[in-house]
Amino acid sequence: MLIDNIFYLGIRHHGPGSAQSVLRALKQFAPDKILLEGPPEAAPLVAHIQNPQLQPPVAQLFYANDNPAEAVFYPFTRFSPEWQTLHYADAAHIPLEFFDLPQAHSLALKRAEADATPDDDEPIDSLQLPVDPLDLLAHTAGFDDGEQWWEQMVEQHPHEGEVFVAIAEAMTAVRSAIAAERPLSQREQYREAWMRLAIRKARKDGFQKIAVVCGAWHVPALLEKIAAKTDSALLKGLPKTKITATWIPWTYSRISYHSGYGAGVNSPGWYDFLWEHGQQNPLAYSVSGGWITRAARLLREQDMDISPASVIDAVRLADNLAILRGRHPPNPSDMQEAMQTLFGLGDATALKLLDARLWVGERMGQVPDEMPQTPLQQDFNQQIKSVRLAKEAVEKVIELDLRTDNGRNRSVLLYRLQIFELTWGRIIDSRGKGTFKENWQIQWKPDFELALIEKNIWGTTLATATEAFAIADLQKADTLAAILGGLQRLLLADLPNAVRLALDILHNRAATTHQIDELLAALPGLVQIVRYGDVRGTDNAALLHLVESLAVRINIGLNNHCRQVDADNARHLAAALAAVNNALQLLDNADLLAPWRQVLLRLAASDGIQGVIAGKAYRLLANAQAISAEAVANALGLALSRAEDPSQAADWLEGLLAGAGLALLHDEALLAVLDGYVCGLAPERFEAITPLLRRTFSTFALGERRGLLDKMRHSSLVTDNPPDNGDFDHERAALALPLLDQILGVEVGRF
Amino acid sequence: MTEVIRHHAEHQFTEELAALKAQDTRQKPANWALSPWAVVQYLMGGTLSNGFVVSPKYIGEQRLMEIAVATLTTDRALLLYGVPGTAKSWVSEHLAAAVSGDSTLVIQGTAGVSEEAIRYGWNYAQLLAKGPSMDALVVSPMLHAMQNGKIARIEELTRIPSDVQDTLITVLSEKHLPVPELNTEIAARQGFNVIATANNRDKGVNELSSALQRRFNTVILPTPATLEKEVEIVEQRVRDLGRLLYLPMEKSVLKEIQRVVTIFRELRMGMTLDNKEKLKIPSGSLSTAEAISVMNSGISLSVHFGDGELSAADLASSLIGAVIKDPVQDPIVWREYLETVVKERADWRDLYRACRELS
Repeated sequence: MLIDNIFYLGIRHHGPGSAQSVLRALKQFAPDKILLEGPPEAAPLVAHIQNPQLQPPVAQLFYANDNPAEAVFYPFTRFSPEWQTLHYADAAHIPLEFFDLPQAHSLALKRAEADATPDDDEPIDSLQLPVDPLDLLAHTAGFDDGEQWWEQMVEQHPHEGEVFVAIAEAMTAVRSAIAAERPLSQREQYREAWMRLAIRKARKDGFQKIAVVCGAWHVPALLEKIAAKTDSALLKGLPKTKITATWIPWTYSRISYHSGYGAGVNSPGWYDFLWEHGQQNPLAYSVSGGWITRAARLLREQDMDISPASVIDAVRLADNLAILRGRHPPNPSDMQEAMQTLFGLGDATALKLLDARLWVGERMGQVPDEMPQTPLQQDFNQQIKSVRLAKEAVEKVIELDLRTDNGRNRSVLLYRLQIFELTWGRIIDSRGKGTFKENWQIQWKPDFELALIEKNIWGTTLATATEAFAIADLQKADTLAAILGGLQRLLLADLPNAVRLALDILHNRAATTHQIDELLAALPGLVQIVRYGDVRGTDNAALLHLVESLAVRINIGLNNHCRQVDADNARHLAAALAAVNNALQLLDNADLLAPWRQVLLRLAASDGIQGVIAGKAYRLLANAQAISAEAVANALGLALSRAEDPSQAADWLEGLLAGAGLALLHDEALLAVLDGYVCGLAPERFEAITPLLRRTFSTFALGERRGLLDKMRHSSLVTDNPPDNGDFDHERAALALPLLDQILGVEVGRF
Repeated sequence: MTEVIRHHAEHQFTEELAALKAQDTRQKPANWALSPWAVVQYLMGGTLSNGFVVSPKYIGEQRLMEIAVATLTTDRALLLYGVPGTAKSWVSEHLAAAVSGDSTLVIQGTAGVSEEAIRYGWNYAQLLAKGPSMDALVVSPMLHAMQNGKIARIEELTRIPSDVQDTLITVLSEKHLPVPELNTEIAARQGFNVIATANNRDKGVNELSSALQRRFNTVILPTPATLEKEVEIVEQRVRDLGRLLYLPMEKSVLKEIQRVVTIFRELRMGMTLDNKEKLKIPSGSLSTAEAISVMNSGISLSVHFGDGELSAADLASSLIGAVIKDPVQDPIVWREYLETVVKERADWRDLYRACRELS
């Protein structure tokens, strides 16, 4: 909109169509001065524009010097009109000025706001709108997507510049409608007053052709006739704070981040494609053809079979859908639906693969090496200073005493860095578990600095950034063990919000998993945390509730699961049962223990379960004195009876006795059953079973084995009547002794 | 004509189709009775510019109908997929009625369908008398649709044996059907296409070969979107069937319908309705049609063997039967659901007890 030689270009932030229109309009108008929406503090950053190391997506970052956590990001992509304007001004050597309210004031105002009590009647602020203000217009006009609306505007206004007039008019109507209902926020008024002053000043400086590039929302306000005095009066005495500006790398997945220019965009990958498509001259392919082909290639990389024939049909269906809906070319939803029908066979699940890689895109930006320090780096440096750690490239070991504040803080810091995959330190053996000491091996590497710059995306302080990063990571975790591992790291790194989220995710995952062994493996770890972990700031009740729900699910599914495992896995399962049993005993909660023991009883009595599991169930019950010694003896007799398969019997024995030499020493009844069984074996059966028996007995400590032998020699149980017939050949019997030594694992020959 | 139990869609809604046709100024594909836009209008209902009200035939997302209609304008056939009770056959009939004004060209898929039902058979008397000729050919609904540029419908496509299904490949890709006996072929006229329906969670059906799959665009018709909608559908059908069986409707029935539909929806989606708790999903389809049959058997149990008042105990056995389809996994899913969800709801105690007694 050209008024008094000032060209007002109302843009759509991050709109590729808008970027193209702006670029064309600027070239035609050839301004001698450009005013661009953005805080003036960004001026020194413009110098980097021609640096090839500055690759979008990048963001201008402004933060308060005294508190880096107060920060604002202005993301730029190659399809942002602002980015294209910067490049145009740089290439054409036209002076460019950022003419928004300085962040020095904005941040200070925000501080003041945070202290004040919020109003009931929320005033309108373009930065708080959930979408770009232009998209509101697009939605009223019946478009899902603002981009398509822009395309239509451009088509209807073939003369460059007319489209900006139309947009200014439409926006004027929108603003007056909104203003009738809700007042403009204070900040909005300051900003627009500042912009008007900047325009007046530019004219006063003698520029003849000024281009004003700003969000379409602001154009009506800039056109209003307001006396310079009024604006100056409004801006008098604004609070101020010292801030720093820098470029940081950004990613497409963070473009949706609500900051800087207000609402982000949901499908930067799509917009990037539109921009690229718009740059083609002549057109090499249609939008739908190009996009659907791209999607098909991505799906093929994920091992989905997408034939070229179905790509062609998907493009045709998308085109037909668009015609049926009275528009052309197809918009993203037409294409998504066509792809769902053709590629997903009607099902949307398969296309989920495309969400991150196609619609959002995986592009990551890059900034020049010589950029000033980012707030995350500053926060990090400040923290290591306060805990007295130095960035040393030499490897060394430090011992931390967790009882002291400094020790704990150092430990938390190192654990937080580990979450960022910055292994400055790794923990090394600290002799014994559960002590208050941690030994860390630390070594600083220069690429950590770079990693810290990249991690600025996640937040401006180490605590907020690691938390955001951990949360994003947790959402990707797919096994209980991975989530539990994450939870433990989060506890160590003292990130309570992420811990809460991890518990939620754990809960959901536990509810949907069909893998009982996952649950079995998770429960002891959780109990450990409940019992010993210091769960700072987390709800211990939530943890306990999780343990309870895990226990309920285990109780329901265990019997069934135990029937399905083979001999190899049965051993792992038996060990897992023991671990769960110990954990539940540790908690000592009757409501959990009683049903658990019921399940064990049922398991012990079930047929068709691997012997090692049944034996283990008896052992756990016997240890807890949940069943009588007599019942165990009975079960052993049955399990080792002739009808049983020898290997099943031996497995059962292994389950019962593994690592329990002492128990056998003191349990007469058990020993008697075992003894009776062995003595009653027919020779060939004894031969068959001896190796299996030895497998169990060899796990006992030497002392225990000796004790057992001793006991058997003196026990009344032993039928101590050597064969009394005269032709017993002691010499020949002695020949067998070395073999016996070997079998029994003790030196029988000595006795 | 008066004693017919049910009329075809094109007869039942003649007026609506005529009104739409009169209004329809948009471009029509060759041999279509209405434009694609008007077909969608016919299915979704609405008020025409002259005030004529078109009743909705499909209650659900318009975009699905748009995809279905747009598919028919391409040279791919349309496959409507979904669990029982999602209006697949209903949509297919109305689509055919609106597009070609004729919904009668239908092949009912069963295990006994032979190739003749899809291609052509012979009138043997004619064949013996005059030898092979076009006159001796018995035209299948498919062939009829090809010759006249209409929509052919196949119900329950996956019940047809695989080798017979594959007969369709020639028809759908070549758009010609050779008749080797006469050394000729029959070409499809423009406007010909095929709408098939199939059940996506049935066991023991014949999956489509990938060659055939590629000739179809698949549209999955979902189960009702909200609890209220589904309760309404179940209530309506229970009432209809009850009238047929002379079963009285008690007030308690509505409450039970709500509970049964809630259980079905929660287990189907793997999430409680308040979105607080995730659940395991059982192997069965838990369709709306099954919810209706659970209600019916519960009501008939209470009328014939109980005190006439529908109680949780009357529903429990058929409810469990509907949920537990796989003997190994499903009981675990069901017991977890009982213990973690049903048990916690204060006003569901009776249901919990009734189900506990049975499992």
